[in-house]
Amino acid sequence: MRLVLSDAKVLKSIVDTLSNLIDEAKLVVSPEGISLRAMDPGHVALADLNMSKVAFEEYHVESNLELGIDFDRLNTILKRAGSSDKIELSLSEDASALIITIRNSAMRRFDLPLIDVSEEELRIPQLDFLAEVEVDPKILSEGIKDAEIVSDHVTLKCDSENLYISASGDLGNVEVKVSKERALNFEVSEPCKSMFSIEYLKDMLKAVDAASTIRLHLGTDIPMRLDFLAEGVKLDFLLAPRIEG
Amino acid sequence: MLYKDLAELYKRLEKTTLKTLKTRLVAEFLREVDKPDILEIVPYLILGKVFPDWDERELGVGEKLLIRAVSMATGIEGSWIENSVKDTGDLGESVALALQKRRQKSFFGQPLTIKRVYTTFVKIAETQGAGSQDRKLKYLANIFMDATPEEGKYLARTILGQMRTGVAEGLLRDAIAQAFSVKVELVERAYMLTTDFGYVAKVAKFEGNEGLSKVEIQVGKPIKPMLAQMATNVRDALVEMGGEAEFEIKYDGARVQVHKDGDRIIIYSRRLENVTKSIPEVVERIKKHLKPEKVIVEGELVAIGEGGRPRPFQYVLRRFRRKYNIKEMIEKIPLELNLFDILYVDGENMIDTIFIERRKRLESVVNQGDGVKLAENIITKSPEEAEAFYRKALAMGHEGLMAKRLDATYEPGNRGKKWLKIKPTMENLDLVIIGAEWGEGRRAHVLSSFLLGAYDPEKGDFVPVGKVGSGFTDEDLIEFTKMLKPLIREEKGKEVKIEPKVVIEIAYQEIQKSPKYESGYALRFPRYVALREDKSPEDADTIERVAQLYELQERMKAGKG
Repeated sequence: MRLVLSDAKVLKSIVDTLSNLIDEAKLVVSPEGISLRAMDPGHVALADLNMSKVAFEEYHVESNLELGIDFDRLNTILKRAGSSDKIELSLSEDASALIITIRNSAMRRFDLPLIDVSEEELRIPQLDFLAEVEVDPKILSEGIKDAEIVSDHVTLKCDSENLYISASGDLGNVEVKVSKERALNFEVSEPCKSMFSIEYLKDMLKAVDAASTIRLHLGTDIPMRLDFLAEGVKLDFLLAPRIEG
Repeated sequence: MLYKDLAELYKRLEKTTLKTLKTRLVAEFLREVDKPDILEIVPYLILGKVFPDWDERELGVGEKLLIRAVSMATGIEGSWIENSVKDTGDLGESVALALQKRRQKSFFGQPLTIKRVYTTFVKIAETQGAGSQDRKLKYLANIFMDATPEEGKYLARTILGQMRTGVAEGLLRDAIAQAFSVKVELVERAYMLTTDFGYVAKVAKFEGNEGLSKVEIQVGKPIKPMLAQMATNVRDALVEMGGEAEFEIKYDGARVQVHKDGDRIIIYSRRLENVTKSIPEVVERIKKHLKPEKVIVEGELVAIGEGGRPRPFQYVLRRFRRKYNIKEMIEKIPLELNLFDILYVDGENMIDTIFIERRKRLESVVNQGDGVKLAENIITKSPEEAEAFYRKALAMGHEGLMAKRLDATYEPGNRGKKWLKIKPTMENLDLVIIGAEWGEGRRAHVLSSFLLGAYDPEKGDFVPVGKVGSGFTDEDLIEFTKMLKPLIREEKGKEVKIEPKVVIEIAYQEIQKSPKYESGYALRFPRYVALREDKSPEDADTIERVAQLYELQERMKAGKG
C-alpha cells in the first residue's frame, strides 16, 4: 500500500483529536479509502472515521488491510510534521510496521510498529434525532469555551428558531444563542435538549481545524452526533448524554 | 466469573466477625472458581491486594486520581465525592454513593468480570512515563463506568489497599485447605516455600495433597524467612541450644534474600518486597562473588560509615526507598552484604539440611571480597568464649548476637527457639498506629498522641497496648500528621481512629498487666524511637510477643535472667 497526502494538516488534526479519546484502534484500509471505528475507554464517546481515496493525492491499495495503531505513538510522530508537509504512508516489508514519511526540505522516515488490537464489535446505536443543525465549527467551539467558565457540563437545546448552548453552576450562568439565520442548515422537527460533559466535547472539538463545517444531531436525553466534514473526509462522534442531577 | 460475586463475598465477610464463618465463605468462593488463570489471581484479591507483596508492580493510584476517575465515570463532581467522605468516613462508601447518583451515560455497558478488573489493574500498574496519569485515569474510569455501587466500593478499597474484611494469610490458608479438601500443613508448607497463594491454590485444586507435597522452592519466588525468638542472655541461649551453638554477629542492617539465576538477580527485603533496582552495585557484586549458577542465599545488608563502622539500619532503608539518582546514593551510603544462610543451590533444596552443613555449603559457594562477606561467627560450647564474642560484637557497633542450633533445619516463616537473638536491652516493640489524638494549644493542628496496637494474627486485627506521646520532635509530629491524615477512619472530638498501616518502633521501661486495654497489657513510659517503613502491619510485634516479653521481664526481675 502507498498513500500520499499533499499536506499533513487534516491528518494531524484528526489523529490529534482521536488520540485524546482512544488509546488504540484498528485502521481498516480498503481500495476505496480508510476507515476506523473506536470507543474511548470510558465508553462515553464513539468515533467513526471515513477518509475516501479522493482525500489523497495518491492512493494505491490492492487488498483490504487491518492495521492496529497505537494512537499516542502515531500522534507523537505526526506532531513532527508541519501542516504543509507532504505525508506518505506505507507498510514495512514484513507488514509489522506502518512507515510514515514526511517530506519537506528533507525526507524523514518513521517506523510505527503495529500492535494487536483486541476485537470489539461496535455497532452504532439507532437514534431518533429531532434536530439537525449545520454551523461553522468555530461557533460551537467558542460556545463550549464560554460554558466552561461556569461548569463542567453543558446543555444543548434547539427550538424552531435557535440553538442554545447553556451552562449553569455556582459561579453563575452562561447562555449562547445561535439564531437559525447564522446556521448553514437548520432543521428542527421538535424542540429538544440534552446535557453533555464539556471535557469530552472539548476533546472532540479539537478536530475543528480539519473541518470546514460541522453538523450537530440532537434529541432529548439521548446521545448527540457530531459530524465533521471536509473534502473526502467524514469524522463522526457519538457522545453519550449526562442526566440532569 | 463476575466481579459481582467477589463483591458479594467481601460484603458477607464484612458482616461477620466469626473466623470460622469467614473461612467457610472464602472456601466456598474458591471452590466455585473453575478457571486456573482466575484461581491464580483471586486469592490476592480476597486479601484486598492485586499483586503479592514481592511483585514489583504496584498500582500507583492515590485518592486524588481515584476520585477524578470516578468523577469522569459518573459525571459527579470530584469535590462532591471529597465532601461526602467527611460524612461516610470511607472513600469506598463515597464512591458507591457517587455511582448511585451516576449522571454520565455510556454506550455498551458490560458487567464487570474478575478477569477484566484484574487485566485493567495490570495495565494501570504497567503504565509508565509521560502521560501515564492520564492513561491510568482512563483505565480506571472504564471499570467504574460499568461498576455497580457495591462493586465500586470494593474496587476503590482494593485500589487504595484499604480492604477491611479481616482476611489475613492464616485464614486464607485454612480456606484453601477447606475448599479443596487438602491438608492445611501442606498448604502452609507450599506457601512458605513460594509465598504465592495464587500458585498454591491452583496446585491444591488441580493436584491435591500429592501436588502440594511436591511443591519445591522456585528461584525467583521468595521463601518466608525463618525468624528468631529473644533470649535473655548468652548463657541461656547456649543451654537452650543443647550446650553447643553457632553464634554469629547480629548486624544492625536489613535482612535480604538473594535469588540468583545466571545473570538474573532478585533481592527481596525482609517484607519480601523486591528491592533489586535500588541497589545495583550489590547486584553486580553478587554476580561476581556467588559461584553457583542458581542459588538462594540470605544475609544482612549493612550501611557502612566512617572507619568501616556500621550505621543504623535506617540508612539501608533509605537506599531501598530511593528510585532516582541511585548512583549518588551508592557513594553516600555504601553497603556491605553479610551472608549467613543458603536455602537452595543448583537444583538442590537446602532447607531440610541441618544448619552446620548449610553454613559449610555457604562458605564453599561465596568468594568473599568487595563488600560480600560471610557473617562473622564462632561455634562453641564455652559460655566464656560466647560472651567474649558478644562483647566484641557490641564493641564493633553491632546489635548483638544470633545463636543458632547446629542441627536445625531451615523452617520458613517460623519464629521458633532454634534461632535466638541476644541483645543488651529489653527489646523495643514494633507497633502499629491505630488511633491518635489532636494536640492542644500550639499543637492543635497536629496529631500528638498515638494509640499503639499489637498484631493479633488470629483475628487479623490489632489490639491496643498503650499510647505514646513522647520521643517525637515537632517535625516528627508534622510528618506523622501528614502521613496519617489520609488514613483517618473516624473522628470523635479530639480522638481519631486510624487505618492500621504505619509501624513505629517503641522503647519503654516495662510491660505492665493492665485492665485498661483488652489485650491485658500496657506499656509503661513508651517512647517513640523510629518509623519502621520496612515493616508491614502484619510484621508488627504480636500480642503473643508482648505476653512473652512480659514473662521474660518478670523472670529477669526474679533474678533468674
